[in-house]
Amino acid sequence: MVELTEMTNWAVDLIGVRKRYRGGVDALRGVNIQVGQGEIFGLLGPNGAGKTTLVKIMMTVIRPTHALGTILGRPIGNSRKLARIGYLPESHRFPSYLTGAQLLDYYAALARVPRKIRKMRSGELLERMGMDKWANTSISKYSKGMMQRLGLAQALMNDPDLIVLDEPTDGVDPMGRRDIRELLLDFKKQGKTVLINSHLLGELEMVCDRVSILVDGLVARQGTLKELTEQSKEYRVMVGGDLSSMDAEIRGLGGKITTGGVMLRGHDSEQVNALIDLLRQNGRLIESVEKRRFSLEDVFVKAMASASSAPRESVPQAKKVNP
Amino acid sequence: MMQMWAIIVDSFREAKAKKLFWALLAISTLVAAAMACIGFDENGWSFFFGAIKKADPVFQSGTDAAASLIGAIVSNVLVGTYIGWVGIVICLIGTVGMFPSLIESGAVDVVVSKPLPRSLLFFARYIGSLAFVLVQSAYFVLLTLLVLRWQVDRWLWGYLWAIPLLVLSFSYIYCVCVLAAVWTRRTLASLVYGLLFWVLVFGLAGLEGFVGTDSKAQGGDVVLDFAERGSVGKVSYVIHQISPKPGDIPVILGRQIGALSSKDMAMAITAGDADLFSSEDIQKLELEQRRFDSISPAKSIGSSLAFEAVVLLLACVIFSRRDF
Repeated sequence: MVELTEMTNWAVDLIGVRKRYRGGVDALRGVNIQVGQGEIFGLLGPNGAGKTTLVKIMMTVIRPTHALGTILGRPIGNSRKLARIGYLPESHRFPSYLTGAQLLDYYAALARVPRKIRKMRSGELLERMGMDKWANTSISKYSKGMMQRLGLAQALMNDPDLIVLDEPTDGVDPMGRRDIRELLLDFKKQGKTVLINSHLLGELEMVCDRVSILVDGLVARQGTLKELTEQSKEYRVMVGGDLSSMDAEIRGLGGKITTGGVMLRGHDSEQVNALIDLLRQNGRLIESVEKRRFSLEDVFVKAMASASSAPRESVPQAKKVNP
Repeated sequence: MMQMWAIIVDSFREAKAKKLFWALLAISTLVAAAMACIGFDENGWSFFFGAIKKADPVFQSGTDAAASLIGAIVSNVLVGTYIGWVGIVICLIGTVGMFPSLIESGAVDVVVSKPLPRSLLFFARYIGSLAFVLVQSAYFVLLTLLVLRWQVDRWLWGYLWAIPLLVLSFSYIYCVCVLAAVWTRRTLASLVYGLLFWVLVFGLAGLEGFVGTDSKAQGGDVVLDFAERGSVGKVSYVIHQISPKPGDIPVILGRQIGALSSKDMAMAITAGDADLFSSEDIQKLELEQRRFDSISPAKSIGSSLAFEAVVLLLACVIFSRRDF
């Protein structure tokens, strides 16, 4: 069931997306995701988390069991709005009997791009992707990286406002990855919205404004990279000697005794100073204070761990934030 | 329209990319060349481009009799056997993978995420698949039309009806392959279901011929009306009416060409020697002719197309509602 909700400024505003496959498998259990216009949004999650199902629902490849919300201001599944979306699916298979130029022309025609514009844009995009020399070669001769670049070009043939990329750097060499990153940042400058589904956290970290971590069909974390990594920063105060006699006081400040010191997770510098004061009052010698900010990978692993330890129905939902 | 045309062109490109497409064109050329070996001159028959000649007072170059005989051979042997059976099987093999390739994982995602209704995608693909058969039958018919012109010294324009009729005949079976393809997503299953259905259709037509005839009637076999039939005969009649009738296509085409009747053709081939046939044989040929005469092109094609439309609608609904 797809219903229209109130108009928003979100490029993508998904509310309560559920998908139950035949046999009762719940791929998505009420996903809420908002993507602001002009931002690069990353969709993360382990295998089987429901990322591809969510993307396929957005692209009308799969019908949701339930979904509210809008994409580019129109209800999910609106066929007309698909003309303003570019999509690169995961593990795509393009017709091997076509040449690169023919493939771009074919898919652009399906996206209702007029013939003159198709011809002009396919030349531009093939050149941009470094594929112009291969334009008239059968794609059966293309390497995986070339196919991926061609796939990206076909997603851009209709000059989309929203670009949905499912594992765009899959099979692409490091130089190609860098080119794709630059391309994504260019889209952002042009005010286009990009939604990337990828398992390459390092890649996402470099380009995404916000990310959403999907675990077991639900959003486990969602926010800007800064928000997610700030929440996960930690201080490590290295102290000589046994601290077990101070355990209660340290716990009172939110710390935890570890080998060789105390760890304060997610706290600010005031609490660190309070901890240092406490240690010094007790005659302890501070050897070092280390501030550590978590990477996206750390956040991801933490989200996975907390989701797997939480009961299935109580996985936390991210708060809705303003664009 | 732009989208539909793009899908049709793509489907044809896919068909053209197969070696089978070119192989079938080559086979058609060979068949047309073989057909050209037989002809007529002012004295009678001519074989192997005039190497062997046989005098005949009736069948001579430019006569109506020769044209009718050739028309009968074309409609029964060429259309009924070569294109009607061999050609259709090859075309099925050539096109049966077109829907499974459309809906295979990774390929379907891109096309169904484009701004076009799935029903349009489905029917455009279907029409595109038929383009394979249209090109093949057009090539063969135009080539053999030239051969016929050379053989009987006149243009048999009615033979051009073979092009749409052959595409129709193919589509009666192909629609079942498409239904099986969107259901199973497998090429082989689609082909097997299509061929089984084809055999079933001809089996049912044979059953209808058997139970719908009274062989003990006075004055020879007669085709029974619905009211005169038993319960099996009535069921057979109903099934026959609603099922596609590819077997009628050579008969319908024969009429367009002005082909000889079965009996006349048999007599002509045996040079009018009626002694070669028993009265029973003649009765059978006459019964067959009566059955053929009772075939209404509008009813036969109309009911077959109605069946095809129902099967395609069902396949389209499955395709449109399916998760890929």
